Amino acid sequence: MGDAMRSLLHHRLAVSSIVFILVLALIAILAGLINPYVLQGYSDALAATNQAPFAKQTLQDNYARPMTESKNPDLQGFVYYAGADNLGRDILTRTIYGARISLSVALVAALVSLIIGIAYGLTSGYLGGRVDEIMMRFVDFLYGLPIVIVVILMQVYFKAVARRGDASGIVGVILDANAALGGMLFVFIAIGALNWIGMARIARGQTLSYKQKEFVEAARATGSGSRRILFSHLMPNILGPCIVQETLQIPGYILLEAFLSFIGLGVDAPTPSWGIMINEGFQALRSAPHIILVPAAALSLTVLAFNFLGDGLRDAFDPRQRGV
Amino acid sequence: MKSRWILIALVAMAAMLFSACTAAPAAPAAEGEAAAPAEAGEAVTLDTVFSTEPPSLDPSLGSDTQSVWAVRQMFMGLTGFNEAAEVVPSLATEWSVSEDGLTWTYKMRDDVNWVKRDADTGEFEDLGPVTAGDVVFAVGRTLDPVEASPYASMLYMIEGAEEFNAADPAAENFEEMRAAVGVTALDDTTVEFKLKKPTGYFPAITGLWITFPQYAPAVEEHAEQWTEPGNIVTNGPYTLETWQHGAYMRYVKNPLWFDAANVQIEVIQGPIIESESTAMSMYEANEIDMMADPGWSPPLPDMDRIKADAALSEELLIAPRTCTYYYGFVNAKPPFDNPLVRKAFAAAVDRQSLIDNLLKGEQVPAHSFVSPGNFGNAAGDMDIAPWMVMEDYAAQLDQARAWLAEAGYPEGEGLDVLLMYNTSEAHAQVAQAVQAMWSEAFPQATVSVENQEWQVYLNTLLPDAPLEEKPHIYRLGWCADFPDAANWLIGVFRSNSDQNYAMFNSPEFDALVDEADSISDPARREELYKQAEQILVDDVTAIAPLYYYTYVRLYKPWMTNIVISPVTGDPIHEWTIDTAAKAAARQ
Amino acid sequence: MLTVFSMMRALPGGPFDFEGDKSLAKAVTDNLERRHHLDWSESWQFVSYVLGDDVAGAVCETIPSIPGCDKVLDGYKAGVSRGVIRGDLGMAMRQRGRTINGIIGESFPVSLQLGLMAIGFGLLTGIPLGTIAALKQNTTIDYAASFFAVLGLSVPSLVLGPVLIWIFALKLGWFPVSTWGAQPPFFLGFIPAPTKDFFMHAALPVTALGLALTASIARLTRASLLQVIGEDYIRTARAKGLPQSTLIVRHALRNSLIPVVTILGPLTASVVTGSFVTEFVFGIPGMGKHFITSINNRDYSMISGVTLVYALLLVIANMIVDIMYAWLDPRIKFE
Repeated sequence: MGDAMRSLLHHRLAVSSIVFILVLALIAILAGLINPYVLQGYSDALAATNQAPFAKQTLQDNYARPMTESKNPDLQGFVYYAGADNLGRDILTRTIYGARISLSVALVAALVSLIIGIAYGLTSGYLGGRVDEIMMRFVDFLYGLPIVIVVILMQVYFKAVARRGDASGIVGVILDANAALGGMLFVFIAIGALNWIGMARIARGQTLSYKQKEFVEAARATGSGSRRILFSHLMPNILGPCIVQETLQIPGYILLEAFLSFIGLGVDAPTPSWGIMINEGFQALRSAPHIILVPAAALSLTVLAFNFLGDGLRDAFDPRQRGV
Repeated sequence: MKSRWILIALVAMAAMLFSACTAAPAAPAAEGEAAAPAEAGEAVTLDTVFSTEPPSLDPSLGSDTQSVWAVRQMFMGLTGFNEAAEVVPSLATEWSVSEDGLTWTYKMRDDVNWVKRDADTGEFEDLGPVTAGDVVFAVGRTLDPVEASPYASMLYMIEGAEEFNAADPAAENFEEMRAAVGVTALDDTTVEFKLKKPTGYFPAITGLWITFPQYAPAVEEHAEQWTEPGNIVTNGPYTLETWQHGAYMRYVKNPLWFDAANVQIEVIQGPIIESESTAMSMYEANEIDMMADPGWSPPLPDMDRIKADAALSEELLIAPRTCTYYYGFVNAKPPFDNPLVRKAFAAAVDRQSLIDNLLKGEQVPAHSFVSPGNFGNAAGDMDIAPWMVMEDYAAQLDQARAWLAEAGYPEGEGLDVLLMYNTSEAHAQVAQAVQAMWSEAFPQATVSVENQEWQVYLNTLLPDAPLEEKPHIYRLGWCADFPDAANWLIGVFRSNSDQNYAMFNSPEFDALVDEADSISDPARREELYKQAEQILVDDVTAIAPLYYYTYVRLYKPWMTNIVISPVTGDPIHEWTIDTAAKAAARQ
Repeated sequence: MLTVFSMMRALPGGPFDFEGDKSLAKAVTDNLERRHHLDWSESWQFVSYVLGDDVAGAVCETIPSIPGCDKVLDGYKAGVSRGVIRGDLGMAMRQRGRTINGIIGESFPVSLQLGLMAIGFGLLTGIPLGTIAALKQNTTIDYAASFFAVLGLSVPSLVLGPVLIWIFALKLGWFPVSTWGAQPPFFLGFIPAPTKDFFMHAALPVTALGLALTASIARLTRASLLQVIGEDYIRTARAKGLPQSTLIVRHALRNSLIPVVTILGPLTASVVTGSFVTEFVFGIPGMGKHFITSINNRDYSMISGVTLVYALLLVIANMIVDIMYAWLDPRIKFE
């Protein structure tokens, strides 16, 4: 009886988390149409220049309190519902645009880590023996790699390539995507690339246990090739636990982006990210606490949602641990 | 059970490993006293924070604000700087220059002694007077390639200095080259410098910390450890008592100093705090007495509150500082090879609004490179680039638009401009603000900003780095090493300078600054520097100066007689503290 | 280690190219680089770093024809490192006259104190919280505890630290704003004198760092306790009439702690790196800042040293976890 209650509740939490994340994604995608400037009828002021329309800067409005009106003659009557930051930009608008970065890091890093981790773990577990041992030692070694060096290196390299202007073909496409993410694409990839270790461990463990199972033996006996066994038999089985694990890691990625912003390796200004906004808000905490409020709440809620979603997924995939 | 013992053994092992690790460094001295900084409550104490660990307290090796600040508290050099950044006598009472401008002779006072504080007993030992030989030793040490002083090149005008500094220590004639450096002690209180070429500002050079005398026996006995407490021998108003690396520092008054009777503050102490926001919290909790060097300035986001608050606004102190913040144009990179484009971008910045709404430290809008407080500066001279700082910004903006249209880019059409700055919250804010100003001034232009981590940034900007990797516009600031225009115009923008990131190249400019460098007639030098500024900022507009810095500081009301030096290293020995008021506030 | 060594040298900019805003004269940079053997070829630098300058010198004395030996012979007598093998991490490049051993030796114990106290805080608050939540399953207390746990995971320490300072140090004045209350020498190298001053200073940073641990430990404890309670041997014990408290503490809790112990290894790692923000915000002289500043300064020997210590710490943490594992779960035996 308790089980049913709990399970329902957990599902309800997981379901509302999914709804929350989907709504957030929708807001992020439609940020250009539904930000307060447009909604309040000031889209012209945003569109007047050739710049990315993140938020209109009005220096006179710096640190404007929530619910105050803009002093900019071009924005007469515009209300800062959540206040303005140190450069006089609407915080609500920037938080909405900032969702793009946080959700991108979740998506890109998760995909990268999932792909590398599964491929590595699958190979290691499937081949077994000496190879497995060496591959796992290598994983241990990666634990110690300082992420900051890797991130700086990637940024330097790709930004230099971008400026040199020999960006054609695939490189060009990648660089465009990078520019859209405020120069963070490679950082996201780096985050994923440094977090596939746990994933590889799980994939390997799962592979090892499934390898002995009858259906794999049967497939082998009927002469299926390694490729077929890997992709048609092992992969579908280990995917579930891996996705659960990945969902649980996503909050970590979002927080890591905030940390990188904090040490100055974040997105290029003026692209907003929650990490950068929290960093700005942290410095102004004593004098203008409203700056940190909205982005911190957005960040916490999103992390919360991913945590609940991960829990819900785990319940679904692993009924034995229901209630965790 | 067995496993529990293994656990215990392992923990013990780990503990031993760590203790072995900690025992390795030279044990920090004066632990007994350091452990209880609160006990020294009776001494007149200036509580502050240090914004970072000083990389070195060695006068020959220091180069950053922290190190220089500390060296100036502990050592006296031949000359010093007053509040107006003018050269004043310090260890030297008078100096003179020969007819040809090549030989400078300094007479030193004989009542300044070397002092060493015993780390165990806390007693001060008098090691005899500071002599001309100590100055010669220090200059030689700064130039010694084995010591590898980062600021050695400042002394290259001395005869034989550059050759000695660039020599291979393994070379056969190495000792001869050392002896050939043009600094000699004529007697105990007279020191003579021979220069390669006439240098009118040489007295400012002898006010640089790298020429401050050092006590040879201490340096030779302790080698690199000579700046540790208990080893260090100093001749200034304060000396080092405790240095817990990375954590805490404490300086105490030198009771044997010649003017010790007039020094009221007996202790300067504080932890190393790397977050300005945290330092501000400490200030507001009365844990520290000031937000100033060697600590932090009050954080920008708190400025509005400070100005609005009755008590804090009284504690705010703003003073000029010899630094300029500027945006440089890479003059060789199209379309910024066109002076009209450079002028348009330099004009389309509302400097006053930037200062009023973002910087908030009463900085001064800049229209020249050399900041006020330097000899030969042209700040405030409205012959030079008045169009950067017009009263009526709308008119200034019209002028900027007209220039850009004349250059062939009406409304900025077809322009794709990259502004780059080094990673830092403060620079990011200025860059974003200026980016928005430019986008509004030239609506058809695309202005993007990018930040690079500091070392990467400077390597991108180096004059010989590939042009296509450079931005169009870069951010930099310059602070005077010594307050003379030579340090600015020759040091940064002469065509052969390593720091000439703008790739500005004007033979006329070079000729002007070279002439000013080689004469000592002040009026003529000022005139030449002004002409050079005219070319750099107005005619060619190689750079867009944004503002002249100010020191923005907070001092608790019990801090009195505050004297600020525009160059690093305030004379704290001249300050006083109302101890009763401080004690009352801290209750 | 070779990877870190060559990766950091691939970063643009060397440690001595610039001083503040100003680039240095060529002769000056050369002098500085010669001091730290940066004029040697990279492979010789690596040899000297691992084995020591004297070894590099001895090899070159014997066979001077190896490429790069001329530079080694010039400079090896002014040694900078006795080699990692002999426990010498070399000289710091940005702090004159200081050894990496010295710098790490004084900052690491502080980080260790902070980290251990944070983990202790996490265990002491997280396990009871998780236990209560599991025992009062599906009550308001349970939901409140669970919600608090997830919230603790979701608030970044960058926000938590300043908020704690603001409330407890500035507004209420209960604790000092910052700095660390312990001074060397430490008992056994890392145990400080347990003075009131020390705990007053430690309260806020330990809370800021430990709260996220509390959250994850509580979640894990609750989950695993619920699972254990459902198992047969507990049901048997309960059927035998053992009192509830004995049952929970002696049987259920002990077994349910196994997963908690498993995550302690990774948690230690995250505490050590995560302490950067906490140390920065609270002005604690720990090792965290060296992770970032050494890279910004291109202080090669510091980067290597810090990375090495970090790796060593992970190994030790994992070893301790393995041992505790065996202690808690008798089914796992030592080989």
